[in-house]
Amino acid sequence: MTRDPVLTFTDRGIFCPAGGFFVDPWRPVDRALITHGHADHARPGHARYLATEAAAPVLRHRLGDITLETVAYGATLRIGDALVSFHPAGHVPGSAQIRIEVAGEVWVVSGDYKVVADGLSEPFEPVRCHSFITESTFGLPVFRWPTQADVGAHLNRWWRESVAEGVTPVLGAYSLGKAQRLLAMLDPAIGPILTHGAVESTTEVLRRQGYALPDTVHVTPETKGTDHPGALVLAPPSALGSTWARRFGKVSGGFASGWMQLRGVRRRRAVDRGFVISDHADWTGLLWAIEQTGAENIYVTHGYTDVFTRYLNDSGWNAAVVRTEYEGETTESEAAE
Amino acid sequence: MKRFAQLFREIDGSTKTTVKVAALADYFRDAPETDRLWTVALFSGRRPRRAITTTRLREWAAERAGLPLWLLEESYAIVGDLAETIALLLPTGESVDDSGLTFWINALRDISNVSEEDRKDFIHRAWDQLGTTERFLFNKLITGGFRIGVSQKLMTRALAQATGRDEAEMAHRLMGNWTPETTSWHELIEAENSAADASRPYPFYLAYGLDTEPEALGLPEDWRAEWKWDGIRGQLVLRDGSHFLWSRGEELITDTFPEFARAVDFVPDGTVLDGEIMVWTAEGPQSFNALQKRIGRKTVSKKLLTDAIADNFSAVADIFSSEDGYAVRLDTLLNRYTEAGGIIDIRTEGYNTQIDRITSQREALDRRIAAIEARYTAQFNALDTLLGELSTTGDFLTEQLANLPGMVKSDK
Repeated sequence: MTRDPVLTFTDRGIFCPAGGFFVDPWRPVDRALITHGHADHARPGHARYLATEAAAPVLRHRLGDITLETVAYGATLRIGDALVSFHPAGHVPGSAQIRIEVAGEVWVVSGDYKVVADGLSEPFEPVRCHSFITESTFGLPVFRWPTQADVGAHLNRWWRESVAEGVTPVLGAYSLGKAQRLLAMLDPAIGPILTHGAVESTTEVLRRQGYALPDTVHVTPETKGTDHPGALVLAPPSALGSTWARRFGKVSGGFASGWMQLRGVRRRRAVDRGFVISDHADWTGLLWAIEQTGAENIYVTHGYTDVFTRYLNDSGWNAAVVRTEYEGETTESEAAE
Repeated sequence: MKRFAQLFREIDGSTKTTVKVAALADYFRDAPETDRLWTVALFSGRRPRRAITTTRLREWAAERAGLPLWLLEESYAIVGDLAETIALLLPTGESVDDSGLTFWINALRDISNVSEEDRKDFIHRAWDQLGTTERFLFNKLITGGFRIGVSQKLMTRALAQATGRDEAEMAHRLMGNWTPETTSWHELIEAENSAADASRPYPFYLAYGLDTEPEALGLPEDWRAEWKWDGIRGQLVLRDGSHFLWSRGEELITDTFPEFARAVDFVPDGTVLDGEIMVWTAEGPQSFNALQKRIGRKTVSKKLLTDAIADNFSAVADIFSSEDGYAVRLDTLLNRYTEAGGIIDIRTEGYNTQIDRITSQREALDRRIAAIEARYTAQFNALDTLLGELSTTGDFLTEQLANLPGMVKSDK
């Protein structure tokens, strides 16, 4: 007797025939299980959503009045013939990998993940499985992240030096996840932290939820550049160099992203300072995570899929590329995160 | 290498020219003199001879990183710089080596005499001792091409700052065919007696396309037009009773054109001419083909030379000293520039007016951008509200339809 695979890949997203649900679908469906709140994973228009309790406030904030059921990390639900549970992915606060078991066979959809603790997101937990669906945003050996402590020290030194030179540091970062992680890394003793509206609203949602985040000052149209001497400004990348940023006078532009590892990208963006910090696993992290799952079959979604898959196959895994519409960390805009 | 790596990080860590110049000036003040000299050499395109092929470098890097070669190649395709790719791929290392830039350059030069196996050992050991940035720079010494956002101009400005000397003097001092092996920091940058290099040319004055209408240049009478001759650009330096001929690529080509030896008989010592080298016979200027017989020759055979001189003995003298020769033309030309209300005066005024105009255009553009932004925001808000209303209407309609008698809700 042949039976359906636990998960299939359709043009609407990753589908579980036994449970009749999708994971992070990109077209409207009846039932969607959501790994985390970034726009390329949590899209509007589904009839019913299921996510972790921790991810719920951000999802409601971003998607409005949706029909959302929540579940605690680690708790098992039965949906149709499938057993489903959510496990921390370490990507952003509230993010999860989704474990799906059908008749004893286990698959894990990792969504986006990173394996080192960032001090804010629930730390990544490896989940044993037969088949593992992984991203590969930074699936090249040239991507290996420095420690968060090193980048944090660099970040705060840049802040202090900029203030000493009489320029305002303006740091570009995605509004969900990266911005809050940076907030937690910044040293509030140096000065006030100003935030762009896009960053502030998400930060406020997470703060109310109980994540430990420092105080911030929301920049409104009335805010003058001179109101807060010694301040650092946290804004979406697109705000760097815009008319919005002009109120701060002379600025030093910084950008925090895994892409800052590459000189070429850093120079094309023309920022003064690039901070190598990503919410995605680096090369070492991806390989470690895959090893930990004990999986035989690896499905590689967004990123350097072809190269990474070839390497996995050469190294003894049974790996295949899966086309999805996830975007990972883009070099250019903040369209997705 | 640590000090050089620090300089690199400072230059690379800013987009602001002032910061880069200050970092370079600091370096030119406090780094060891031979390292400074090599830095000037590297940043002005004088790189050490390649000791290792990039093919070997790739193989050895892949081996050290424990990765298949194809993966290194794929990574290189993304990163776009081999030196950087290798630096990022190697196992993360601590910088434990205190040797300077000069040490590593000399070491790389010396390994050209050893076996390939020894070379590989040397490279692997070097990688093990250097931090990531230092490795990148070390690899750059091998692969060549230090394009790191430092122009010659930026470097001369920094040298001027560090030494308290004139920028133009610095630009001049860097010209010519010196290498760190043939000179010292003191001789190149500081020595008062520049007799050490009588041959040194001036920086070539380059032609630029106009960025405004030709009318902006002022009156045609204030200008002197020259033919664009079909020759090669050259600079003739007459000093200490000798002559030196330089090509645009700063190569000494004195022996390729021995005709110019006669210039010392007609032109005062200390004169430097920047112009076009070409063949001129009794019939007038010749095509580039006539010149091509010479280009690429290191020296000229006796026969070729006697033929050339016999052909146009007087023409050579005329070029310099006739009524329309270089000397007279140069004198007239200089007057036009330097007199009060002369070309330099008028040009300065013209540029100031242009700067004012650009400033006001920029302000106008800023205002327009702000207005457009405000309009888009308003439009977006209106759309957002409309969308909300439509969605409410949609919900209402769905409910109404569901409640119609005789309708059955389809269950998808």
